[in-house]
Amino acid sequence: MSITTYDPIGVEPAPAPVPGRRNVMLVGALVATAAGTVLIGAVLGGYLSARDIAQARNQPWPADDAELPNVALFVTYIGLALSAFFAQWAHAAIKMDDRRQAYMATSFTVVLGLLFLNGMSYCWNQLGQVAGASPYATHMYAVTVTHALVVVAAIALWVVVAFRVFGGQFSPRNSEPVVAAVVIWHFAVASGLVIWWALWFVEGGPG
Amino acid sequence: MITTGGKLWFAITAFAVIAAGVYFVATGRGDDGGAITLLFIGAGSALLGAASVATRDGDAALPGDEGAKEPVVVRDALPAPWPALAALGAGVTIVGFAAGGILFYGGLAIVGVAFAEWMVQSWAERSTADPSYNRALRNRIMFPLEVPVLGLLGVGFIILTFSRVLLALPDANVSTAVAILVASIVTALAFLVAYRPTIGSSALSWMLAIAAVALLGAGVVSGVAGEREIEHHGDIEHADDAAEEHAE
Repeated sequence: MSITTYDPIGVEPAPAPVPGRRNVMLVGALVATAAGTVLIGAVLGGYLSARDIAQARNQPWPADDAELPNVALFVTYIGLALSAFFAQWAHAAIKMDDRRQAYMATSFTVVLGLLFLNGMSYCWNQLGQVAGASPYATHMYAVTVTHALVVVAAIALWVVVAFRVFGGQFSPRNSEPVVAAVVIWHFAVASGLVIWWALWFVEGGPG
Repeated sequence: MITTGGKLWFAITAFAVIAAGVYFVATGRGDDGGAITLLFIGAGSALLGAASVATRDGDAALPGDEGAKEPVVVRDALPAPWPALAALGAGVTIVGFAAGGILFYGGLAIVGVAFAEWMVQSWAERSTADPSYNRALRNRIMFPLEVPVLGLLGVGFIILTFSRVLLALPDANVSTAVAILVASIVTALAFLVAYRPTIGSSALSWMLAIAAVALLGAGVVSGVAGEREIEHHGDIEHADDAAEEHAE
């Protein structure tokens, strides 16, 4: 009695997969970064336009009942800026083939990203603004929540990278996904610093 | 050397930066928002230009031969609307989060469906070098889910839109006549399609698309117009009782 293999498609044997192009993840990360740059620019432009309109009408900006928690905001954003060094450290560790440093750097990057989200949550709470209640509150949330979502996406990417680092999938010759994640992370940090300057420093200053 | 792609993106950068300056001056230095938006567009296109230069527009020179280029590997990919659908779902989710109601859950459902479809397709189209084999793999996994779900959604769409039309018509008898007429037309067209198998799939797709748009338009117009006055059985009995009491 002969045993026949089950072939649901009817094509046997299947041809080998085509090798992929190089630098796909890096170029993808750069395209995503460019798209994110335009996105952040659009919401920031909306915020500044609304501020110009409010100031032209002699309306308060920020809203009268908004008290900016400058210290908390500064600590939150400086923590995010610090995470850029850890992200770069992760790439350097992979290039040096130092697994232990790579574990630490990827973990610290993700943890600092989560601390940023926690800090922003605290700052939103301290501000006591409700989206839709005033143009300031609506535009402030539009900018900061959009940036927070960018950070969430970057954290998700870094969690994937961290798992692959723990799985030993990267080496000095194969570090492109780490470079792509570093590019995305640097974008999240840079856009955060621009937002800190435009929304918080210019409006309230460090106090 | 700046590559062709780099030249294109850097030209957009220069245009955006000049436009930002012109806009800022033309608006009397009163609108920062437009200028900032244009500057960020410039920054994004500069980034893409740098990527084009850094990757030499995707070309890779073969070792030992300056002029030769590595042949571009073009992967046969299936049509992929999933990134766009995921972006739509993310937008609906955010709007739903702000506005409340069912939109939020609808957005999450769209995102979930888009990612599931995207993952399966991504896996399938990397399986072999044969696109038809890959397509068959993908369809074998997804069709048992897609066909019933899309069928249910289609039936729900027809019920929702056509019921608005029937309820908006001025009389119940007219609604009945229209329902019979439309059902007859559908049956006749289905008979025609079955009888003439030479009708192409694109013609059939166009026919269904036009019918769907017409149904959606009629449903929206009827929904906005509102339902006709409908007497409920309870109201009739109540009216009869009142009439009897009045007669007594």
